[in-house]
Amino acid sequence: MTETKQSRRGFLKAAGGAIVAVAVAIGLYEWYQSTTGIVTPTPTTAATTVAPTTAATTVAPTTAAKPFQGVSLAFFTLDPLTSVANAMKAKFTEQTGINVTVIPLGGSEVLNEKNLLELTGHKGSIDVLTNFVWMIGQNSAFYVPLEPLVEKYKVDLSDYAAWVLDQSCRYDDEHKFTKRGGGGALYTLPTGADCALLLYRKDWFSDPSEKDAFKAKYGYDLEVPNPPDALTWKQFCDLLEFFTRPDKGTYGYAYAADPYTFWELWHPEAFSRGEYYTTDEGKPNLNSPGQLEAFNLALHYHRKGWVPKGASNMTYTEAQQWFKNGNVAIAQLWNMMYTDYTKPDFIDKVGYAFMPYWGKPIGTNRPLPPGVTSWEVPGSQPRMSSGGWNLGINKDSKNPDAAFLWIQFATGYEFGKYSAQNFSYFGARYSIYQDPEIKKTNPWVDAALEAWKGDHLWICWMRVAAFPQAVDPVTRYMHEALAGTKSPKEALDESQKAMVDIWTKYNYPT
Amino acid sequence: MREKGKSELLAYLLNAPTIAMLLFIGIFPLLYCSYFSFFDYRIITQSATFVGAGNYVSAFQDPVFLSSLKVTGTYVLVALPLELTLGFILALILNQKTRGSSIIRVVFMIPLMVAPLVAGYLWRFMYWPDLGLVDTIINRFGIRTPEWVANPQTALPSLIVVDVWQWTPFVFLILLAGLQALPKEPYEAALIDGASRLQVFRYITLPMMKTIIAVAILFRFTDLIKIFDQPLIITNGGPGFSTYTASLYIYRVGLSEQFRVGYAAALSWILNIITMVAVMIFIRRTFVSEEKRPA
Repeated sequence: MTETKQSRRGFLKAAGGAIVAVAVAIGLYEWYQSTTGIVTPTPTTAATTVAPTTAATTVAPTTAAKPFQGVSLAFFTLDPLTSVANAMKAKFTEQTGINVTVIPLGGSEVLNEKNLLELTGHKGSIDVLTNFVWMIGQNSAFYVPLEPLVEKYKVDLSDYAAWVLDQSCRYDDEHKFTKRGGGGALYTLPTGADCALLLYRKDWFSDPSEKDAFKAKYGYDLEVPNPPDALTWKQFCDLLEFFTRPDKGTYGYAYAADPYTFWELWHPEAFSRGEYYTTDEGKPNLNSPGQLEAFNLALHYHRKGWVPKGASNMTYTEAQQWFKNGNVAIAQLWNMMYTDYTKPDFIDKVGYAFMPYWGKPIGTNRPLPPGVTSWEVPGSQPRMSSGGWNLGINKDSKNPDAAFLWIQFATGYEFGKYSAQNFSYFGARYSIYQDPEIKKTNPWVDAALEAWKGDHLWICWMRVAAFPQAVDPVTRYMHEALAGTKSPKEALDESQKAMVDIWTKYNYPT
Repeated sequence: MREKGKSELLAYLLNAPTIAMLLFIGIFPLLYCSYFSFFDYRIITQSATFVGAGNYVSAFQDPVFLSSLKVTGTYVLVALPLELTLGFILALILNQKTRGSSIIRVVFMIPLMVAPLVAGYLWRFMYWPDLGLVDTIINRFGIRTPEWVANPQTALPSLIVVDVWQWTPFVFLILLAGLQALPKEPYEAALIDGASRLQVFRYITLPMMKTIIAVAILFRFTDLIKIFDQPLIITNGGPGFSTYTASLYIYRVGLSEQFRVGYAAALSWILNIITMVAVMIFIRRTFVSEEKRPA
C-alpha cells in the first residue's frame, strides 16, 4: 500500500482557498441579510387605539384588522417576568396577532451581558429587552425613544408612578449622576418598582413576654413605627441585640452581605445621612466622614454577632431563607422577594417598615459603635435603596411599533395584576398598588406607596454608564473590611481610589 | 502523474473544510483576542483606541489582577499535589482485583459526573453555617466550626477541598488505566529477586508510570489554572479578594458588568502565556530530558 504525500505548499494553497471561500460565503450571507428584512406594516390608529382609562393601558382588543398580524417579537427577560409573560402572551396574541417569544435569562449579571451583546451586535434579533434601573445610562443609546410612540398610540402615562418613571425610564446626560433619576427623554416603561424595606417578625414583636423583657432592658416599648415614621439606628441596634440568641439559633438581622451585594445593603445607613456614591456634581464620594460613619455602623452588626454565622457570604435567597425559617427578627429585602410572606400561613407574621435614620436616641444608653461619633445627624431621614425593571425597544428592531404594543401590554394593569397576585411583582402602576384586592394579600404596599411620596428612595446603583465598572472592585474593597483584612478607613480609601480611576478614564468629575 | 495530481487535489478538498473550521474556531478567536488586547475597546461606547502594550502594562500594575494570580497559583500548587497523591493511592488500591472493587470504582466516579456548577451549589449548601452537612457532622462532636467560606483564612482551603473531591477521580481514572496497562514481566522478575513492595513501587511502578502521571498533571494543571465555577458559586471570589481567581476576574472585567474587552483580552493572554510557559517547561523537563538521557 502506498501513501501519497501532500506537498506543504499545495496543502496550504488548498486550505487558504477554502478559508477564502468560506469568508466570501459569509460576506455574501451578511450582505443578503442586510438587504432583506421583515417589512413592518404601517399601523393604523384605528386598529391600535389604547383605551385611555387610568387602569387600562393594556392594548384594547380590536375588532378591526390587526396590522401586526403574524409579526413575531423576541423578548429578553428574567423571572418572575418570564413566567408572567409566558402566561399572558396568548392573550396579547389574541388581541394584536403578534407572537412573542419569551427568552429567559439568568440573574442580573447574565441579563446585562446578554443585553449588551445583543444591543452592540446590532442584529436586531431581540426586539424588547428588560433592564434594571441602573442600565438606562449604558443602554439608552441603543433604545428607541418612546415619546413619539407614546404620542402615536395615545398612551396615558399618568397611572405609572411618576417617581418610577423618573428613576427607571427617563434619562439624559444631565441626569446621569442624580440620586432620583429624571431626564428629558423617555427610553423605557416600567414593569416593576422595587424598594428594599425593613421586614420584621410581627409575631415576635407582639409577644407579651418579649415586650416586657424588651421594655425592662431598654426602657421603651418594643414596636416598629409605621411609615413614614421609622426606627432610629440606635433603636435598630437595641433590637438586633435583643433578638440575638445564638443558643436558640436566632439572630437580629439578615441581609445579603456577599461580595457582590454587600455594598448596596448598607445603603440605608449612608443614604439616611445624605451620603451617596458621588456628590451632586458627580465626584466620587465613598470615603467622606459621613460614609465612614455609616460604614462603621454597618460593620458593627457583624462585629457584635447580631447577624447569622457566615453572613458575609449570604445571598439574597439565603437571607430570605433565614428570615422565613424564623432564624432572624429583621431582614432587609427587595419587595419582589415577598411572595412567600403573602401566603395565608405567613401573612400576619411579617411587618413592613422603613429602614432607620440617624435620630435622637431613646431608652437606656447605648455606647456608640467604634468609628461612629453620634447617633443623631441633623436633617437625617429614612432612605432606602430603590430598584426596578423596565422595558425598552432595541433600536435595531425590525418591528418597533409591535414592540411598543408589547411593552404597553407588559406594563399594563392586567399583566401587572396577574404578576402581583402570583409573584408579588407588581408593575409600577398606582392602580395596581391601590387595588383593594391586591392590598389585602400584600400588606407591604402601604409602606412602598409611602416611600414613593417623599425623598425616601435613592437609586440603588448609579445610572451613569461607567458605574457598573466600579461595582466589583469597590464592593470587594469594602468586603475586605467586613472580612477583617482591611480597616474600614483603608477599605473606603481603596474604594474611592478605584472609583476615581474609573471616573478619570471617562472624564467624569473627580 | 495526472492521476496523482487528481488524488492530491481530492485530498486537499476533503481536508479543507475541517482545516478551515479548525482555523476559524481555534486560531481565529485567539488572534482576534490578541488583536483586541492592544486596544482600549469599550463595548458600551463601541470605541476602540489603540493603546499598544498599554493593557499589558496596566495588568502588571493592577493589584486585583496580581492578587488573583496569587490566589490561582496557591490553588494550583495545593490542589494539584493533593489530587495526584490521592488519585495515585486510590488507583494503587483499586488496581488489585478484590471483591467489589468494580463497584467501588464506579462510586468514586460519581463526583466526576457532577457538573462543576452543580458541585458548586452542592458544596455551598454543605458549607452552610450550622445547618449544612459539614457543620452538622462536626458539631455533633462538640467542635465549633469556622465560617468555612465566609472567613478569608478558610475560604480558599474550603474551595480546594471541593476541587479535590471532584477531580481526584479523574486523576485516579487516568492512573488506574496506566497501571492496568503496565507489563507484568518486570513485576515477576522483581518478585523472583525478592524486592519489597516499596522497592517495586519506587523502582518499577513509578518510573513506568512517569508518562501517565505527566499527562494527568498536564490535564489538571491546565484545568486548575482556569478555575472558575467553584469560586463563582461558592464564594463569589470573596471574602474580599481571598478567592478571586484570575479567570473569575477576567470574566468580570470582560463581561459581567465591566465590558472592558481589550483589557480582558490582555489579561487572558497573560494567563495563557503563563500556562504555556509552565507547560513547556514541564514537558521539556519530563519528556525531552528523558529522550536525551543515554540509554
